[in-house]
Amino acid sequence: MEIRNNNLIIRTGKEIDHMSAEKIRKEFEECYAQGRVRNVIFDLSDVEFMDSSGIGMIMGKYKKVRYFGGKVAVTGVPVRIDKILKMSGVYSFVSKYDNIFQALRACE
Amino acid sequence: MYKIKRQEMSIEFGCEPVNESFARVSVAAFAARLNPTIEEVSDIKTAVSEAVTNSIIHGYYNMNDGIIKVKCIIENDRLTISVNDKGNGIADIKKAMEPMYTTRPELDRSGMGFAFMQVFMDEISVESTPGEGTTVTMLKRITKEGILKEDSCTAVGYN
Repeated sequence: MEIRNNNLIIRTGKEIDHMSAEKIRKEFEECYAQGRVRNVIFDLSDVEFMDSSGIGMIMGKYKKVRYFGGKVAVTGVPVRIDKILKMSGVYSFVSKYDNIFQALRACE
Repeated sequence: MYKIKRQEMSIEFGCEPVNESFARVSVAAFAARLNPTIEEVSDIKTAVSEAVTNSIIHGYYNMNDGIIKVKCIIENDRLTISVNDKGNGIADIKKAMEPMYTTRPELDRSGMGFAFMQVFMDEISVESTPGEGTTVTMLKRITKEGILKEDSCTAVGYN
C-alpha cells in the first residue's frame, strides 16, 4: 500500500477472495489508523479472480472513508471484474478510471 | 445427443481460508473434461469460492476446526457441486439468502455470496439444520459445443 498526498493506493494481487481481502483489510486498518488517508484507490489491473469478498472489500472502505468526505476509486478494471462490479451496484458509490494517474487527478 | 457417463469426485479439507483457492482449482480441474469456456470456468470457480467461504466464516465461525466436503458429479451436460460443512447451520435460510444480508459485517462482507451463486450457477438449493451443518448444492449446465463424446473422454488429458 502506498500513500500519495492523502490518497491510499492499494494494488491488489491476482485473486481477491475472503483470504486476500482479509489481509488487505488488516493492512488498511493499520494505515488508516495513522490518520493520513482520505481517499482509497484500488488498482485492479492484475486481478484474474474476484468473488463477492471483493465487493465487501471495496464497499467496506467506502463506508469507512465517506464520513470524512473521502472517496473510493477503482482503476485498471479487467472486463470480467467490471461485469461483476456493475452487477453488484458498486459503481453507484465508486468511480472507475483507466489508471492510477487519472484517479489521483480526480481525487484532488 | 452427447452422453457422458456419470463421473464423480469428492475432496475434504480443513476450514482454513487458504483452502478457498484449493477448492476452486480442484473443482475447475475436475470440470475441465467438459471443455467449458473460460467464462464458465470463472463462473464455477466463483460459485465454489462463495460456498466454501460461507462454510469457513459462517459454518465454522467460532470453531477451531472443521471439515468441509466438496463433491462434484458430472452427468451428460450437467455439473453438480455440493459443499457441505458440519458447522453452525443456518436458522433462517430465506433470510440468509437475502442479498446484502450478512451476520459478519465486521469482516467487510457484502452479504452477496448466495446472490453470486445464483447468478453464476443455473440452480442452487440449501439444506441446513442449526447445530448440525449445511449443504449447498449447485448445478450448472455446460454449453453443448464443449461437450466431448463419451468415447473420447478417456483419450483426453487435462490442460
